[in-house]
Amino acid sequence: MKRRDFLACAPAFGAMMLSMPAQAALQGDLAQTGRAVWESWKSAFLSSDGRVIDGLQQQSSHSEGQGYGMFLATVFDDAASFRQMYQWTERHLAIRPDALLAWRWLPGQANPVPDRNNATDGDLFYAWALVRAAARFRDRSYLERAQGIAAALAETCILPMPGRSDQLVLLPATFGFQHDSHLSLNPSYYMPLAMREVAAATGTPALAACAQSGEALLHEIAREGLVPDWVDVTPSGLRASEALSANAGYEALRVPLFLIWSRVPDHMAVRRMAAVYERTVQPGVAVPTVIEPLSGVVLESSADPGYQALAGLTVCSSQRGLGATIPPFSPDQPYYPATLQLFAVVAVHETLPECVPL
Amino acid sequence: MSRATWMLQTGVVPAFAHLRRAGITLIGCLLVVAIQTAHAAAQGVSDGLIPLPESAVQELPSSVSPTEMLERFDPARRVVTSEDVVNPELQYWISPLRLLDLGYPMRDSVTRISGEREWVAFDVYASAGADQQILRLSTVSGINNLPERSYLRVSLNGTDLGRRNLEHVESFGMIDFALPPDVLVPGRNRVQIEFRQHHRIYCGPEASFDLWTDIDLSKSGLIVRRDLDAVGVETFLMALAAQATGVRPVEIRGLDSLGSDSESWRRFLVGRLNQVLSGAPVVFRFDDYWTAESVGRAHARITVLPAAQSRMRFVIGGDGAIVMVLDVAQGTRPEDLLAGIPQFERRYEDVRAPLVMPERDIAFAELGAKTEDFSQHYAMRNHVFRLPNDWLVLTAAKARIQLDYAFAANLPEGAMLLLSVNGTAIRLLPLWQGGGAPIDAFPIDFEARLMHPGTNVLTFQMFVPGNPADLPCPSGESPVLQISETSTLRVPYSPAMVIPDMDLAFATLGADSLRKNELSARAFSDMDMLTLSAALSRSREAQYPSVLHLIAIDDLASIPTGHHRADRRLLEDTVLSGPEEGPRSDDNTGTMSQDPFLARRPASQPFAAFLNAGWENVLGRLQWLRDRVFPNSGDQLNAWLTEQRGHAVLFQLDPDRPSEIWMLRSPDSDIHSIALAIASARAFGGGPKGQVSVLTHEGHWINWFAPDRRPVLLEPWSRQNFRAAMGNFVSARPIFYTILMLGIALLSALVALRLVISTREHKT
Repeated sequence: MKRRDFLACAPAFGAMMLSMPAQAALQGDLAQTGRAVWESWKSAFLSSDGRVIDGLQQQSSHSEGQGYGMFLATVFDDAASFRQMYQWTERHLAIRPDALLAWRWLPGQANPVPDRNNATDGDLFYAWALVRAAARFRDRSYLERAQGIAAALAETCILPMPGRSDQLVLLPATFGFQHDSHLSLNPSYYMPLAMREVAAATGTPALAACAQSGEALLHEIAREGLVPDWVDVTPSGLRASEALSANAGYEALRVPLFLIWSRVPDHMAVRRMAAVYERTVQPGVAVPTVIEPLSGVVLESSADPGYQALAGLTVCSSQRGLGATIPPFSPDQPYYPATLQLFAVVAVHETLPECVPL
Repeated sequence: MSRATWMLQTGVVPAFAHLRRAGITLIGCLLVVAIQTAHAAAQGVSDGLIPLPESAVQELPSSVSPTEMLERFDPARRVVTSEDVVNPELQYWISPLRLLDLGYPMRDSVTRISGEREWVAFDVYASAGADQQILRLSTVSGINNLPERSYLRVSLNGTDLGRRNLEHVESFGMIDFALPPDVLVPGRNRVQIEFRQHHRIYCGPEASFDLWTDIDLSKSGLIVRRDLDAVGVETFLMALAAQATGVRPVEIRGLDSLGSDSESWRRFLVGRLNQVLSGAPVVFRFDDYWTAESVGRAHARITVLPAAQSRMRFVIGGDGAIVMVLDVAQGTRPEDLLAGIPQFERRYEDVRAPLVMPERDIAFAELGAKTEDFSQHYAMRNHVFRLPNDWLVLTAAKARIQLDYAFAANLPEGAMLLLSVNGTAIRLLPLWQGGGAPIDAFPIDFEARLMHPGTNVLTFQMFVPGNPADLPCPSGESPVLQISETSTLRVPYSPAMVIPDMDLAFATLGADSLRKNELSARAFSDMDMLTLSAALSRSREAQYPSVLHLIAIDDLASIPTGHHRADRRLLEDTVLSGPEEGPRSDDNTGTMSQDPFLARRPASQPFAAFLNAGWENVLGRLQWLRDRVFPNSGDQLNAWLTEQRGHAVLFQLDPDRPSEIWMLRSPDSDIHSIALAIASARAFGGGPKGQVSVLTHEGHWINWFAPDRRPVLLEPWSRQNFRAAMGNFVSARPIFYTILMLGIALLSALVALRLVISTREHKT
């Protein structure tokens, strides 16, 4: 039976929903259908030596960007670019005594890595990229490197939650976020799908357990309002961050993306953000990027397509519609929204095929 | 510290600690081994070229300074000011004017209006809910225009919106017209702009040629707010017009998701949307769902989604484009999905020139030529009409125009009205003698053989010298000439006959007519095919659709040439040589010009030169006679080709394949220009005819007619048609038939002489 024949016979999920064959029809092979987008991203942000450049942050490179770029290279089946980024990262950021990466590299400086602290999200995506690459490019050495990172994360960045020993939290870095009275957490560092895949591939159950705890933590935060950039965890409970951004800003924009991507589109955190987007977003114009978490007042907006893509994906996920208001990819935006836009592409491809851009 | 030692010291201990906590000691041991080998393997991956870190591994910090923390998590590090947030110009867009007459010169989205007085018609699309209150024109005028007296006057659906001076001379500037209530209607609206341009210094036809105003159509039209409350089919048509301005392709997404149905949908959408929208052809491109942003904002798009139920809806896309979303269930025909939506009904498929039937007085009004008063010093009007496809007159039969016109008294000497048919002047009427009174039914006879079956163009050109010519024209605007719509054209009878000519096949080309072979891709990309297909989409459904073969220059051998012997090298030169490379010069002439002494040599050998010249003269005359008696079209074609340069060449050399045309294009030609020339020729005449037609770099079609083409009678011989049909046959090859008749007469005379002599011989 042909794919389209099956589509006609399959009971529809409703007038607008898709059957599985229709999903396949919409998706195709992203390595082919999304090639132009990937090449555009590379030409804008990837140097020839494998460095992912964040222009807004002093042309620096960081473990997050390297991890993000390497993950995308696996999605778009670009072994050469993956290898370049991997080599550059190992040479310039893998300078810690453990398996983790220094969080940032600054060009043109005598000491390009003045701070050797790590960034947990960068390490997580780096490990995830290695896990995917091991399968996609059939190279087990990538998996072995991922195992080292996963183990180091479990050892140094996963702790029991204060006051709730049965739950784990993900520290943003090895140092600097454990205080006498509380822990500072970044909710957007939780990427449940990545944590689970890395845990499964590397045999690191703590990461999977932490992903489970993270989803619960995000749910608890979202009960009060939008998930903020930072939150303090005390033995007595959660509270707004005193030292870092307590708004739902550029960090927290990733939370609904990662949850949708992790196949929990009904999560409270997603629904909260979707409600704000549905209330404020007009297609083609600027979307909210910084929001007061409790009142929902929009403090900043941006017309960068990457942020619009996040809004389009979140609204589509919430409304269960057919097609999303995701704009075409543009390399004329900064590294961060551009990369998030590609993540939105991957999220649609892997979990919500009905949310292809209109 | 070696890498291996570093691994042992940093990797093993933490791993053990973790595994103790997990209680999986055995797996932990295995993990230790794995971790050890992981880094070793990581070093060896990628051809074993993972370099060691630049700096030696250092101890980790025990604390992080507040400064570093603030820098690392500064909320402002992600912020970038977007111009969209602050730029008010991006808060609206333009539903653009669609130029109806494709004969005006166009570069990208800018068209040029020349002359003292021109009326230009546009369509503009509006929506009931879009709150359009301003019609904006973006213009720039030439330096010769006198701004104080040059102006444009705009009317919308017949309502005068006012008049504005053409004050923008150095760069494009905006002219806004406030729209009165209830003038604009949802859907298509007609905008008429009258241009009056005055020269700063001079007056007369020459001066009028220097007068021009450019309109940027992408920035001229109705101003539409970007934050529309709702979008529908009318808004989509507005956006489609905006997207198509300047030959920007309209994106159709996701068509391949329809599998085997995609091709029928592709053809339908390209054809129907071209029939819906007036003006230049709409070009499409086909993409997957994931696209990188093209140059400039997209205004309109079509997205196809496979779905359980079919429906059509209109939404605003993430980039602000108005999107027609087609949810398509299996088996849905595109006609069914778009049926019942009046805005998507065919509108422009039957726009063809009016048909003129022979032996009838056809009023100019029936040709679309309304009564017009001319007050300028130069004007040209083309009126296109069609003759039946089986109409053919090659004889000296006359057609007649009975012209009703009037011109002012005391016009300066040299004022004249020139009438032409298909580019050949048929009558020059002086306008400087008499005048001041209407002239009715002034007879103008001309040879009907100047007209062809199919499209023909009747042209009026008016010249009135300045009086005086070296001063600006006086401000008076009284008409100097009027041509009445009551004038008539009468075309003589023709038996049903045809003669090989690509005009008939060209008229019936459709979007499905394009054919390519395995080599065509060298000259025509898929996108080129779609562009040409769009240009041909407005054709009426033809009973016998013709075919346009797209040929690469490497594939000239595949063009059937019939009995013509076209020189391949000359064909290549026609499209390979640029406009700056003139026609091939005669070799002898070239040698002469390069050798200064050659010119004097004939003088030193007068007798030989005389003999040579005489001999060549005799040969030339014999060749002329031979060409008339036994026309050798190959030589004439090659001689003609040496003079031609252009973007593209159309061929129909084999009379046995009258419904097929072959097309060759220049490698550096712009396919949009070719498509526009094709669309314009089909709508307004002046297109390819004969056996070979070259699209020049100026956008004109230059045609070559084989001298030996033979007419064919399509009806039985009869007493009624004998004279006219025989006249056509004889007129096609007059010398041949003359010599044939002379031969027959001579033979008859010889037979008669022989008979006389033989009957008078004495029998012995």
